[in-house]
Amino acid sequence: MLRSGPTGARNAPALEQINAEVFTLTYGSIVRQLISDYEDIEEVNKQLEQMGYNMGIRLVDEFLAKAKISRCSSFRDTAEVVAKQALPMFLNVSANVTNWSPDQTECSLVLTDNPLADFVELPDEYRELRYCNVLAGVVRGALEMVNMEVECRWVSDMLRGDDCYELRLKLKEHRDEKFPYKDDD
Amino acid sequence: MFGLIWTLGNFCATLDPKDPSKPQLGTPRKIGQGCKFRSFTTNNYKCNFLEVPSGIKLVLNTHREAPDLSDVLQSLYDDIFVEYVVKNPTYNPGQPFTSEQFMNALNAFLRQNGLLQQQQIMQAAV
Repeated sequence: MLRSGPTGARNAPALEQINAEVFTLTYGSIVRQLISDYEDIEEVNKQLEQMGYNMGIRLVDEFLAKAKISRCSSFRDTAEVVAKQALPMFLNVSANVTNWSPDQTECSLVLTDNPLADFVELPDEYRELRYCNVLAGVVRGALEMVNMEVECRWVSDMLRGDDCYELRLKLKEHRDEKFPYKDDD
Repeated sequence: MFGLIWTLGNFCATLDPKDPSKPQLGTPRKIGQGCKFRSFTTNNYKCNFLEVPSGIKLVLNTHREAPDLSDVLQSLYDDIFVEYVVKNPTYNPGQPFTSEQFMNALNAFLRQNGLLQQQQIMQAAV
């Protein structure tokens, strides 16, 4: 059984669970449909990321409610929380945070297995397809709601022959508190 | 009300005794840094406040003798806001929303906690 995100039922204090195969196959058919709709692989990648972004901005509230963690004090902390708490909670996989850049604004999340890409083989004509791009979007969306603007991209993908899934996270900006209304209102 | 909460929050962050760097009042600070206030009491009412890391602020005005309601606000966020608002596909984060189920669940929850006798206003703002 795999834990997955909101599945629609209400009043559940614990996270809903969904069957792992259903989840993987549903995601696979979404990607398949996107490919046949758009036909341009880059466009499909962008759409997957956008879908992930829309999910991430909502998922973060659920994560904050269920995990009950307090504020992270730094980007390093945030990356640890994403890898060790958020990913296991929603996808039942754990990730390691490695490859920190010297100024602590870039890191890699390494996953050894990815439920989204179970049973998947990428044919040669789809070599440019970033199959798991939705995850990159989710992380970007979630971190944007806690006011950290990040850039997420996949650098290693097991579907393309690498030995692990590596997501590179780069902190672009940690936003300041700003008064959103103009003074003359 | 937003201006009030925002300035009070700024003020608290400046007063924070545990903060190693002492920001001046008025310097822009990163969202979430510094401590927040939980409630303030005036002659007529008590305002309880909770801000979650994603920016959602919950404000609950109660009568003056209300106890510390941070747990109530936290479970309000966990069980009601997340369940009925965040999981609603028509909700856009940051936009105002109306949801009857949210209102019903909210009233039921507050009634359970014995807080619905007095007048109260519940607002959620980002």
